[in-house]
Amino acid sequence: MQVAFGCLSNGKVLRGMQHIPEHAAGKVPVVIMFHGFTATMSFMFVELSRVLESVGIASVRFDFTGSGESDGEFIDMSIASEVHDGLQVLDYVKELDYVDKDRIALLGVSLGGVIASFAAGQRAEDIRALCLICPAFIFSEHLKQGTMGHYTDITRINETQFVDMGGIKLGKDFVNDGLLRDIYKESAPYQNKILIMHGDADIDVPIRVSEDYAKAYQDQAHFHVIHGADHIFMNPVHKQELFDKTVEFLTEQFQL
Amino acid sequence: MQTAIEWSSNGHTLRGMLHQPDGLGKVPLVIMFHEYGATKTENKFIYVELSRVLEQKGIASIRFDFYGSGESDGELGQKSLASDLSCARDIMRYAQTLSFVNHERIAIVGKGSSCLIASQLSAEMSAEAKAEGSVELSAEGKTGVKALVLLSPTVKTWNVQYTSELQAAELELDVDCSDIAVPAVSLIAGEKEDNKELVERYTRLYQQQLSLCTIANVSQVVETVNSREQMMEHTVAFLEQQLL
Repeated sequence: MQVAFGCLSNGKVLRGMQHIPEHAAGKVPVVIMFHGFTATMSFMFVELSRVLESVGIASVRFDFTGSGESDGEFIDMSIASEVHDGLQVLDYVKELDYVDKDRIALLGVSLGGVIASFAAGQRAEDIRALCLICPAFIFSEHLKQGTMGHYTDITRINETQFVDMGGIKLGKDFVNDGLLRDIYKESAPYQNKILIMHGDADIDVPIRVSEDYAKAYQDQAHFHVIHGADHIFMNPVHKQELFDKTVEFLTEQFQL
Repeated sequence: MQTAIEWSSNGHTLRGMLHQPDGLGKVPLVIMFHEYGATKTENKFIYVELSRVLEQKGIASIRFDFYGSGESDGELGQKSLASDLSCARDIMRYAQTLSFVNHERIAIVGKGSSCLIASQLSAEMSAEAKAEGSVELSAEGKTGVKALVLLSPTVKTWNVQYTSELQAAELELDVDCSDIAVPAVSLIAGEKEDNKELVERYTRLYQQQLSLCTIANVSQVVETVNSREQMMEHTVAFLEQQLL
């Protein structure tokens, strides 16, 4: 069953979708999904939510402030605002009567993977499992080099207030906040298992980023390489592998 | 007020968003069709912005995901131009049940591949209204579409089958519509777009009803902040002029 929902974050409405398994007995585990940069809760997340629902796992997807259906302007988006949004949704989910509060996972794609990792660091006690799909931890490296992605120069953003990301304004808060972030320190409090998946043909976020992250987390992390996959898992075979591995990991962590 | 909506089309659930201005009385409505491979928010969320601006102006809007896209039932591989047209007819029927909508003032916005769906539905409604003996409001609220906005129209997508269906539909634009009501049309495209033949067909079809807005130095309307702002400004001004 797919149900629209809304909850507040800093006075703005976050809009999303819940997928609730219909024939589950008692409370069910849930995955909260975090989308990537300039993306939305739709596309691959819709398919993944329907797959998870079929195996008895609920999911909650939403658009971050300033993205998709949610209130706010993209120019005001930052890592801090997205982590805050994620934690507000976590609090909302914990109050849902069908949710088993001891079995909540976070899943993030690209920049959403970064946000999921930071949110898990802040609420380690609430998160049973963490699933990172081509997490964009390279953002920190890019910002320090004065770029956002491959081509966009952000060195004058405090003068210009924004940079043009192909028809949408990226604001200075994202850059100034991002420059202060310490990836490993912020994720460190989270102590449960992490599944990291990354395509070795990803040119947006090179696989070495996840290799380094997996090394840092040693036995805590399971690193799965999807051979030939790009950043958006365009090939249906790669996407299926991603879904299969996600279901396998979550089923194990939720003890289904 | 932004509200999630859903309705059934051919046994499948379609999901979308309704933006309704505050206050009483009947208001005009804009229905937005997303392009192949996109969703109801459209590229860089332009449809969300457009809906919110229109709502402030007193114009309602509906955005939705076609079957096989976004939040709606089905998978991308299952959709076709025929299934999209069927969804478009269903959303128009749904819109005509809304009591707060002024049925004489309905406009459609299409982007990319969905421009052909918008113009096809508009032609069907005009023909239907003519068959009923009036192009004006009938007792059932059926009328022709008042205005069309076509953003970066194209017959090319990354799906070969869907593209061939679009190209066949493009040829049907060479029809004589002198005896049916033609909406006011705003076609907005980038100067560098590879769609000149399609633009010419639309120009022949709609003649003096069509106004063409070309945005310099871009190959689609949502390419830079500047092109987006020009597109948004032109679209809102046109819809205000036609609907209010």
